[in-house]
This record gives sequence, C-alpha cells and structure tokens, in this order.
Amino acid sequence: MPSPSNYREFPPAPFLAASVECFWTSTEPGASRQPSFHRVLPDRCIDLLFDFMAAGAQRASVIGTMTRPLTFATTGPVDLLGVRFRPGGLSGFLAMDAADLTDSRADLSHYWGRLAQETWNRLGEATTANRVCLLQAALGARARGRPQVDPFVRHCVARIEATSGGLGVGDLERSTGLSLRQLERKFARDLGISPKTFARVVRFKGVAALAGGPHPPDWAGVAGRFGYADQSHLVREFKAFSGRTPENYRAGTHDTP
Amino acid sequence: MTKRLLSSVCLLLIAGAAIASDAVNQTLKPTGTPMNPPSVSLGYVILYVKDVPASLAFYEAAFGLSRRFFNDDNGKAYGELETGAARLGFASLELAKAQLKRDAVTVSLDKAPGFEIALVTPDVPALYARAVKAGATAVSGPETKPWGQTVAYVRDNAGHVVELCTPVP
Repeated sequence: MPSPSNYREFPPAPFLAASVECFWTSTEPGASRQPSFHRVLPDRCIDLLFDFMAAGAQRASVIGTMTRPLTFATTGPVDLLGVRFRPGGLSGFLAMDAADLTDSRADLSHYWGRLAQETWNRLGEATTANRVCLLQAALGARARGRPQVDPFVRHCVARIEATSGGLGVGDLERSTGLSLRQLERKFARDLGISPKTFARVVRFKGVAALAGGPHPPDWAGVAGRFGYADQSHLVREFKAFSGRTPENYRAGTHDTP
Repeated sequence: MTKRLLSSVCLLLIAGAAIASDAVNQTLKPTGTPMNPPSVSLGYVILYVKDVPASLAFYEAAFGLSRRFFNDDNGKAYGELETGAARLGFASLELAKAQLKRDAVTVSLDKAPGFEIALVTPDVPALYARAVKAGATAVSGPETKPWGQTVAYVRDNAGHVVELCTPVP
C-alpha cells in the first residue's frame, strides 16, 4: 500500500510569471516502512529543488531538463519544495549553461554559493504555508537587473507549444531570421536540449494528456495528427520518455492507488 | 459704491441660488438604498475526470490556458485553470466520490453530455486549429452564426463538449 502523498502546485506572482511556470510542494508523512516509488516524466522544464529531509549536497539542487523518466524510491517522510521554470526561464536566476544539467542533478551551491544553504535554512525554518512566498521573494530579489528570457527562445518555445511539437525547424528559422545553428546554441544554453528534442518532449506531453480519457484514443490517428511517422514511431518515442507504452501508461493512470 | 452694492447683491443672489439649489438637490437626492451587486455569481465549473493532470495538460496544450492551482491529496486531486472570473476546474473521481458519497458518471464519446463548456476567444479558427492539433476531437468547424458570433465545437480529451466562440458585443 503506497504511503499517502500530497502534491500541490502554486502559480507564480505576476512579476515572476514570465520565467516561472509554478512552485510545487510534495509531502509524505512516511509512516509506512515500505518504500514508495515515484516516476517523474520529462516535462521540458528545469527545476530548483529544496529537500528538507536531506543532508549536505542533496538539500538544494538544480534538476536539468530531462529527456528520460526518473524513477526513485523514498523511505520515510518526504518534504520537498520546488520551482519549475518555464522553458528558457532559468537564465535570469542562474548563470550557467543548461546543457551541463540535462538529465542530471547538481548542487545549487555550485551556482549560488553560500546563498543556497542560507535559502534552504530560511525555507526550512518557515511554515509550509510561508515557504512559497519566501522563495518567490528570494527569486524576485535575484532577478532584479538580470537578463530575462531570450526573446528568440521565448518565441520558438511559444510556437512549438502552440503546435503541440509539430512545428518544423524550417519554420523556426523563417520566423526568427536565425539559422538552426544559432537557435541550437541558444536552446543549449537556456534549456539544455535542442529545439528538435524540445519539440519531441512537447509532443510527448500532448500525447500523454490524451491518454487520460475514458476511451482508448485512436493511436494511429493521434500519431498522424502529432506528426509521428507512424504508430510504432509514436510508441517508441512514448516509451523513451515515459518508460511505458501508451497503453500501459493508460492502464497505470486508471489504477486505483 | 455701486460696485459694492452690486457685488453684495450678487453674493445674496448667489447665496440665494445656492440655498435654492440645495433645496433642489435635496428633493432630487435619491432616497432609496443604492443597488447592491448581485450576491450570487458563477464561480466555478468543475468537471469530474479520471485523470486531473491529463485534463490540465490537455487544456494547456489545446487552448493555451494556464494552470492556477493543482493539489493531489493521495488520489483526491483538484486542479484549476485561469479562465477569467469563472474558473474551470477538474476534480478526480475519487475526490468527487468523497464529496458526493456516490460514484460520478463520466462522459461517453458515443453520446453527447448534457452540458457544454464555452470558451470565448477573438480568433476562433486559430484556437480551433490549435485544439485539433493537440488532439481535440473535431465536432464542427468554425462557422458564423446569423447573430454574428463565430463558433466551433470540439471534444476534450475526456469527451466533454467545448464550444469556442467569439465574444457577443
């Protein structure tokens, strides 16, 4: 019997909305001695993570853009606070190359120095209700005077999301006036993945959203509509990003906990 | 001398006029209680679905809406989208059952549910194209009605009927 977990998202205040998708908390009392398993799927975002149950380097981390699922087990209580940046939104808060972080987790103190541990301390001392507010203020202070989301990156991200990942690279070149090489450099720096990979993850997210319906979707039709070569292409990509075929994923979402 | 007289007469007249106009104001002043804003308004439409994150993700992709709130309390999940004064929300079937003490009926694609959600947008053809691209089931494409509204219909990932329409001036 998995231990009960509570996951919440909070929208950002307007002054952070251009860079931050949401704040989130996850808590588990961890009363049962059985480990609970979690699978986190690629969501095309970079997160800062504060773990109030952890020690040392695990306390404050940056989780890079994932291109594969992350499965981990927890035993004991869970008390997490995260910031999910919009694609490209990290650049105002961390001076770094996002490509270094793709599919990995780094200690935030590498980028924030002592401020990482100090922020963790202040958040840890606060009540759960105040943590999001405090973190929001801390990020706001840090963002002042720093570069915001690169407008070319923002434009490409918006166009790829509006077409559920079906947009061709040629269209991005035409609409930005930049070459693919230039766009790839910007995406590598701010997102850590190429425009093509970003489009594939956005497409996967769109397909996964369809899996939650009452009837099995017409997967061949979905494959065509989202721009996969065929149904087996859809299944391959879905499995690469989620660890399961679309049907097993559907079955998983409908299981009672 | 004349000027002073004139000015004092003027003052009297002005004063008189003021007094008179006060009297006029008194009679014109509304005596009833001011109109209250309505005390009942539509706050939320909440759809009961099997998978709240999937519904939220679908609406974000299909209609460009953004998420206001999401909470998953061990399967009792609730999420809300930013849709203006009235919010569109999704509750998991477990949450609905806990509230209603009975199972909720989900929509089925072979019948039309007994309600629709109407999203208002200035560019219906563009939103319709975006929604279909994101996997919405096309029901009817954009058409202009005799009263001037452009409307289109799709079904969302869970089978709910969503109308896309331009604002009525």
